[in-house]
Amino acid sequence: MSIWSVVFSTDFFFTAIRLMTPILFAALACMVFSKGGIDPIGTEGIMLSCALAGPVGGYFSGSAWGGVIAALVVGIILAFVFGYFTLILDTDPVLAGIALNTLSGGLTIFMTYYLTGNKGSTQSLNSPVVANIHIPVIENIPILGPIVSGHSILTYVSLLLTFLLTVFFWKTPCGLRIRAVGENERSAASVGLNIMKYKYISLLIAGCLAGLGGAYMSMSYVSMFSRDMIAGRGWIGMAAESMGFGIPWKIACSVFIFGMADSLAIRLQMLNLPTQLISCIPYVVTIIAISIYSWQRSRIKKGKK
Amino acid sequence: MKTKKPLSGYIEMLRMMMAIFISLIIVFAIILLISNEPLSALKDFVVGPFTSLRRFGNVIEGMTPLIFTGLAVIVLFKPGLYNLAMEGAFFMGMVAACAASLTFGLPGKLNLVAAMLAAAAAGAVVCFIPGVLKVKTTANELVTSLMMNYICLYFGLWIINSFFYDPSQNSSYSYKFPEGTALDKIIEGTRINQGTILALLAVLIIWIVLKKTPFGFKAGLVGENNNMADYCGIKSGNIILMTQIAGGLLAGFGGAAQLFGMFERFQYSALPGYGWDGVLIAIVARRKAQYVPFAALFLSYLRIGADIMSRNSDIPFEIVNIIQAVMVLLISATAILSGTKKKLIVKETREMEALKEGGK
Repeated sequence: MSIWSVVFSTDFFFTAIRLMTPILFAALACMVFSKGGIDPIGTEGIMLSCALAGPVGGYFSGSAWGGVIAALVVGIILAFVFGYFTLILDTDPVLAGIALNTLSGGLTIFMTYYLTGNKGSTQSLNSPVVANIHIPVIENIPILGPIVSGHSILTYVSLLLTFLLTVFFWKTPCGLRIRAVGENERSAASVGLNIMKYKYISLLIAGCLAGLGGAYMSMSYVSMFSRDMIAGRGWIGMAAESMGFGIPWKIACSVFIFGMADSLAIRLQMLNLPTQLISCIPYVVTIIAISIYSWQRSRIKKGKK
Repeated sequence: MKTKKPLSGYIEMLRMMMAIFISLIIVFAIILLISNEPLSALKDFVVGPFTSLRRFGNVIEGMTPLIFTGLAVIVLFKPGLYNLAMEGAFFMGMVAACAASLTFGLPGKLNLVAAMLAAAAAGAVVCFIPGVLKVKTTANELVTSLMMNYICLYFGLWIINSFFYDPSQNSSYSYKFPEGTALDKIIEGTRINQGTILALLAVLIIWIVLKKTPFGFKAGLVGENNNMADYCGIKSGNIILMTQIAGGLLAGFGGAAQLFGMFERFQYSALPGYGWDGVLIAIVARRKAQYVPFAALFLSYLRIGADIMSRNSDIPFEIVNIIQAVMVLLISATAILSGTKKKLIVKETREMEALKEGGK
């Protein structure tokens, strides 16, 4: 099998879309955090807890949507915990992010052990998964059909949300106010905006987005929670958010690059290359991408001076 | 005039005590709620580490990696960067130590020294990369260092599995380290080894470097105000790079000390997490090298207690992560007690002024 047949196939792009979904949710969550002037560093930890909440909620409610709702609730709670510490108690956001990550790492294993008796995964719960959709007409179009159709509902939700958030932040008063608060708190306050209210709204939305990202990982990408399953996707989402200049469609484009890197890493394993080296690819791509982006941006800034 | 140490200085101490107290309360509550035998679990957790010499030895030997990563975090964060690559640096230190000890083949202790230096160098490279990307391209060091950690994990495992894998072992362990390539035990009946002495030595060195040398002062200045440091003629970029290298050296060396002190083979298959623990150590030690051993002793005691508890009861070891997270959150929550602190400062300043007026 040659490298070309690995890359240029409908499967490659299908997998890329499948793998970009959690990163897109993460990046959108980071975007909403940033728009409200809140450090997005808690995203990774929030997603991990939500990834457990999904299957557990699904198991107890008996339906996939119960699981998604549980993930949303946990996402919102943790986003508010993060917000409470960084906004009210003045905790350094980076330290709070690290703490949230440590907490999620420990708590999820703790809960998994408590519920299933083993620390590795929730496989024994046999939790429900979110269904995949086959889009009627598009499905039959050659090339495009197999790439675009047949994804999880959450994948389409993520793309839809990219559009909706664009409308929200650029066309609605509430969204514009959140952006005003995020960009300059004091001038927003000087025109009489209730800053905390808009910060809370962005915490709410960002928590939901991170929750969906976590739920996707354990209820759609695979059908169970396994320890540390987010594997840095929250951080990669942070990188994608800044590379997309905080603009949804640009964020989606940079997320797609990371999705392709992930997909490449998976598909290259068919060529009998060492798995562990290939697993590095998405992370190396992230470092290179963020470095190039930052370098260009710093040059633009210097030019302006 | 006698200068009384102001009370307001103790507020941070008080907040730390409170944070430790609250996190322990939370954990005790969890144990009471879900354990079938809460009292014996609690007893194991609290008293367990003191019940035998071997167990107390575990506490002391557990300090070694924590001291190294705690110091590494203090040094890495000193110039105001959040480089979190110490986790990867520690891991790569272990990988490099294993690889070097098996390839160099030098006689006796020379091999040990060479392998440990190789480990330090590997750690330095790992921490240097996010630092240099930050300085040269302004890339967010947080993101790049976190990515580095994953790269270190997979790259390190690849090195071990493809070159040093011992087929006679069932798991993917490396070959045994050569004879003599180990840190000697210093107390009979425990695994306490020379690594702990090296760690304490590192504490002394870092304390002196940060407190007494121009380099330490400059690094602190860069951390407090990058622009001011530049105006003072300090090349902040170079200072940043040097601190990142130093932090990496510490983390990598710590990895080697852990590997040669405690193991005969390389047997990790995931990141050990000591780097993250280092963040807690640095915070509890209030970013001062001289307090690191005490913070490490405390955390090591908690971990050994939790380990004993998890083996004898139904409470998993990961409860330690919950304690650690709550502690980090609460200790760094500067707003807690800040009102009291302000009041104290105002009161003390007034008293001082009253004293001065009286003196006239």
